[in-house]
Amino acid sequence: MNDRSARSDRAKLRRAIVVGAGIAGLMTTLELAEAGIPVLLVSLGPARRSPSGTIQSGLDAAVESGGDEPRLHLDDTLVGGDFLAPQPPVRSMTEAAPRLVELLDRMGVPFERSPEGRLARRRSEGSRIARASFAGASTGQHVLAALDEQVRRLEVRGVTDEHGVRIPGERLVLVLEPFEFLGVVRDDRGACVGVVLQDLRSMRIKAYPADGVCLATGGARALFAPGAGEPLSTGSAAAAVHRQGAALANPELIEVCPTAIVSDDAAYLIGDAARGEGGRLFAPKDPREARRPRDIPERDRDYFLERLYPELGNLVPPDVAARAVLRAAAAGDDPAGSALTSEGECPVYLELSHRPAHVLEARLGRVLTLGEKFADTDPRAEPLRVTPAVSRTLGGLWVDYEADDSGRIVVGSARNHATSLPGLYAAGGVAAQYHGASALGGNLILADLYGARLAAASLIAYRAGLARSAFDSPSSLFERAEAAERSRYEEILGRSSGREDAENPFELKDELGRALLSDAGALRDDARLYALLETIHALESRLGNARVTDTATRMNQSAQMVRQLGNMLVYARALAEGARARAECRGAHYKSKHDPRVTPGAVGRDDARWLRTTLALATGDGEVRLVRELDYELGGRTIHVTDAVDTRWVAPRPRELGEAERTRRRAPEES
Amino acid sequence: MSDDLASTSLSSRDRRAFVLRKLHSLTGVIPVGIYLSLHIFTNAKAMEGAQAYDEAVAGLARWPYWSVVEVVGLYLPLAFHALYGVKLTLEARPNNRRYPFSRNWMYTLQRVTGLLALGFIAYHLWHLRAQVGLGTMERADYFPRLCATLSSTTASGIPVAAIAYLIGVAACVFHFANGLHGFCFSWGITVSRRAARSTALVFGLFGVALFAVAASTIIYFATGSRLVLAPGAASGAPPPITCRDLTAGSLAAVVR
Amino acid sequence: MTGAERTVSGGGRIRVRVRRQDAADAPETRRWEEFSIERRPRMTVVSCLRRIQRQPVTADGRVVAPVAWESGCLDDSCGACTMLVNGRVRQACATQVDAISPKGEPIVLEPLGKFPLVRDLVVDRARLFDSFKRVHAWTELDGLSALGPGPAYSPTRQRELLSLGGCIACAACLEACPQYGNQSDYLGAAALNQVRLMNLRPLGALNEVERLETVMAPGGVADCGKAQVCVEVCPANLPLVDSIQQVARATTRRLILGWLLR
Ligand SMILES: Cc1cc2nc3c(=O)[nH]c(=O)nc-3n(C[C@H](O)[C@H](O)[C@H](O)COP(=O)(O)OP(=O)(O)OC[C@H]3O[C@@H](n4cnc5c(N)ncnc54)[C@H](O)[C@@H]3O)c2cc1C
Ligand code: HEM
Ligand code: HEM
Ligand code: SF4
Ligand code: F3S
Ligand code: FES
Repeated sequence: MNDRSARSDRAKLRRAIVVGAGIAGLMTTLELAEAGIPVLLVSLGPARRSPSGTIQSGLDAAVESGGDEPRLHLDDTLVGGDFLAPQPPVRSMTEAAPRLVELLDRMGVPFERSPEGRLARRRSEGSRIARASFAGASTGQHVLAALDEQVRRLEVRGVTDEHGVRIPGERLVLVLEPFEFLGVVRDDRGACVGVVLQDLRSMRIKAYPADGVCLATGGARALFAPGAGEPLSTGSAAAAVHRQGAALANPELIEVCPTAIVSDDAAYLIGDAARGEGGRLFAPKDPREARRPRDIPERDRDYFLERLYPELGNLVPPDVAARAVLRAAAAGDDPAGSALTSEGECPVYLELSHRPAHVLEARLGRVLTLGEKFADTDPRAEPLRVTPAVSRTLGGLWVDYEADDSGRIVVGSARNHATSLPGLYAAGGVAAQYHGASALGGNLILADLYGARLAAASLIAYRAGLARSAFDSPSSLFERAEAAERSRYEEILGRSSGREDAENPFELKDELGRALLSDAGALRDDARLYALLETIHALESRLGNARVTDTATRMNQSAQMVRQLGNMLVYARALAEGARARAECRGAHYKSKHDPRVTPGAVGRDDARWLRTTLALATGDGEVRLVRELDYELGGRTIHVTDAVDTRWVAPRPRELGEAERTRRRAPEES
Repeated sequence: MSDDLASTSLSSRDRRAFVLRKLHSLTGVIPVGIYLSLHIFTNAKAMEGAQAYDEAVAGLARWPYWSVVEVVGLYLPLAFHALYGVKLTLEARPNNRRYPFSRNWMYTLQRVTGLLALGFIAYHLWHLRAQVGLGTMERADYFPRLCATLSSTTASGIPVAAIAYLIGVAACVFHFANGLHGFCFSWGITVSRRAARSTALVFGLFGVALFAVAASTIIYFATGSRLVLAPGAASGAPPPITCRDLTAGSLAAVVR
Repeated sequence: MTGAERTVSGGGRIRVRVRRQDAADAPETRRWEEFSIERRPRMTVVSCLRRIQRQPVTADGRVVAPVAWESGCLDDSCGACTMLVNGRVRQACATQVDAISPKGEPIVLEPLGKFPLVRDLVVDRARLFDSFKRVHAWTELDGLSALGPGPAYSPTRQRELLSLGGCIACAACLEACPQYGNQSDYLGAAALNQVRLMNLRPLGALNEVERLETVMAPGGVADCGKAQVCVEVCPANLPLVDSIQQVARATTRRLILGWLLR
């Protein structure tokens, strides 16, 4: 075998495996396939159904015109993320952004047009300059569809070997769906040589060899309730490889979307597109306001974001907006605001009705639909009541990068997007890299795409350096991994013999979601985090008593839930431990104890001690260990990394967002 | 594209089904639909009396090679349309109870009326044209034959034949009018739902008019009364006869 | 039904009847199960199914397996949760209980009928995605490298592309189409809409002819019976009937002119 061979010594087609068919997974697949590498793409469901399709924000890309340039985009991103993001990858991402937007344009994403027919732009949260290309308020959907189309095109394309000869019966991209990723297969030196998958229709478990694996399984939003039923964002895959040794980075970080329609058991997120299009947030000045929102005259409305942040106004970074909403909802006094679980006393509204209906219809169709379908409100005519909700986890699998002396990413280095398990790469929402402590809307899709591109290049380099193809590894490796997962599954099924006190896994998951929301949501404190760790511990032992009432052999979603929940608890523990440890306020991670506005003398963001990445490793017994540095193997080398954040481009500075002097709103007792 | 799967789907020249389907659509209008319209107006001549009717009916038959034209220009297309229509009807899976939208009803009715039309035309041809072909009847006998048949009733006084004719004609006319809307749709003459709705209105009115003429012809044959004036039937018409108190036999006598 | 069950939203209970079957090859397991669920404000059909997951006990007290169903976004944008609700195809996550059961009428859930059953409410909609393959529903690219932006096009064209591109691949239009099913190889409205969408894209139009050929093959655009149910049930409100007519026009032109040119 040489590094270019399409086939291994045993004449097997050397596929790489991409797990997850969201924006990141599809882009990785396309990049690999373009390099001629056959791909096995695995996903829980059809690509079109992936969570990244719900992203409403556009893609920020600074083209050198109108006073904009990538340097400013970099600055906005770093400020938005409260300087926790490593700067070389962010810098390279902002530089690559315009090319990525152009690529999507060629693929057919229907970006908004200028009168001249070129790309038109609007402002995203956290940026002063309009640099987002967007497709209505459903950019994610259109991007996902465009990538899906391209992958489908490759699904019918054949494979040629290094001599240009067609390999009969093979397709460049092979899709397995609905399949669940259970874990990686590692060889005796710890390298990742394949994955174990379960066919969710037949429930058959099988190991698949791979020369390079990339996880793109998205974030772990479903850890939090409501909306926790989301079956595609459990974080189970990340937790599974974490258990197998991959480090997590910043697992404690989450993003809180300031504007969501929250109902009994679902949260319908409204992204920054609405505010980018002119949407304004307000609270009635009088917390006991009895008039219908549309009847409240302008003078009785408090446009609190515009008042507090005259410069960015409604487009402050999401965590800032979310806390402001919570404070407003708590009617003035308590700067910590109410917890995310309860709607505050005082409703907060998103006003769009001042914008012409035809503009809203053309550019915010999705938001109008959400209002109409889930809040019985027509945003064209009436302000929409909103509540903050958890939109994603920001941390995830730790991934490496390699920067050159000039501080730019070395494209093609096998280190980029490498997890700490050799041969395993990660991109998209499952990996922590670009957002720091708060993710700006305009960077969501961008980071998915750029990360995927880089991860693919890396994987190609890794694959080229392989001395032996995974397809030539002893089959006993795969059989053992397969057998282990099978017996785990059998064990879960075996629990169906019911005891009276048996637990329902879905119920347990719901409890976990509610606990995380109240104790590790937008507003955190150490006592609650300790309580959360207790809860997680309790849930873990109750899970051992979980009963699977389902004995069927097809689509057994209960057994699947039990297994996923085991992983989710591991992730949740890392989240809680990380949150407990991080003794500061940074981005969406907020503890009132460290907020100088609440606790006099507190430092707020503590760059001296906490400008660093939380690195979490799993211990064998399900516990988590936070470390300051780690070593990992790659291509026969040992690479040493620490938790330091590379800040070589922009020196960290306080996140001055132009907050005006904190004027208290008219509190009830003062009136 | 270099790869096989895509290229088989792309370069597929397997257009037979498409062309047949287009032919079906076309034959529904040309010639069958056009014949239907003309035929209904020709038959309306009956309201001007037997002589005018005979002339009108015989008018076409006097043309040279009429029988060839008849076969190639009408029977074959009609037979094709009808047979292919039966195939299409068998492929349909109507779901009007679940999805009772008006256009979905039209879809189902198009198929139902197609079958009714098939039954009616078969009977109609056997009843009139085939008898002439077989020599058991003269062309000039059409008028009395129609009068006799259409005005006949069962023992309890129900004019079965006339009702059957009314239903058959209604089915044909509906099928044709709705078919014209479908024709504009499937050839892309209309390209938006709104435009298609406008054509549906126009063709609907056309269909109503066509049916009015045909129905009054049938009622005229059945009862002798004229509901709608036939073209040129304004003068010299016999005084209207109410059908209430007439027997089938006396009606035929009166008309003759 | 008791009086309490009749109360409107916010109180009482709601009856949910679910058509179940353990596997396609286990027809003997086909059955109805009925659940009684506490009614809450703003409940959707997905809320009901989630409640059943958490409390898989039938109305007559039997502990059963939770109902299997597909979901994703839960906000009507991913197309996963399509099923028959009271006989009609709907997105379960966007179907409000108050709307379909204002007076506490029972809710009946069944899997889509035109696709192979996997289990309970889950079916295999691969045929929809295959139809996208059949019609060449993609833009041919010269690769992923930096080749500059695509051609400029007008804001009007953008609006059109935006609305046509909103398909969530739910297959509702296929389920509800009387022409679609095992008896025919009709592609259905979703794929025809893709043809129009792709041909409207400046780069997609380069392959317009090939794409038209695919819908002039068996199962193509001529198989549409103009029932127009597709457009009524499409959760993304796509102008499917317009799309079909547009594609029909293009094929007509090709049928007539393509002949002369060949
Ligand atoms: C409703 C909603 C709104 C959001 N809004 C925001 C927002 O406002 N701000 C924000 O910061 N973020 C938001 N997010 C999060 C954002 O979508 C993601 O962070 C991100 O873009 C992830 O993209 P991805 O391509 O990595 O993966 P995803 O699009 O999440 O796709 C994951 C893929 O992995 C597959 N997969 C997952 N687990 C497995 C497994 N075990 N085995 C096999 N396959 C698996 C899935 O099938 C899916 O195809 C939102 C998410 C949702 C659901
Ligand atoms: C108003 C009621 C109708 C009357 C009184 C009527 C009468 C007649 C008569 C007298 C003939 C024989 C004359 C001829 O050969 O040209 C005839 C033939 C025929 N009729 Fe009708 N008809 C009626 C409605 C219809 C309808 C609704 C159709 C449906 C398409 C139809 C289809 C035909 C056909 C196909 C022939 C044979 C034509 C031919 O041989 O040239 N008729 N009809
Ligand atoms: C009276 C004679 C008839 C006339 C004038 C007629 C006319 C038409 C027309 C104009 C159409 C529309 C074509 C299109 O959809 O593009 C049509 C469609 C159709 N016809 Fe007829 N037709 C006649 C008889 C029949 C018969 C006997 C049948 C057999 C049952 C039949 C079955 C159908 C069907 C199934 C369609 C629907 C095609 C579709 O919508 O997809 N028709 N007809
Ligand atoms: S066209 Fe509409 S109904 Fe059909 S699959 Fe797409 S979204 Fe669903
Ligand atoms: S419902 Fe079916 S028949 Fe045509 S118009 Fe729609 S595809
Ligand atoms: S779950 Fe995505 S559409 Fe219903």
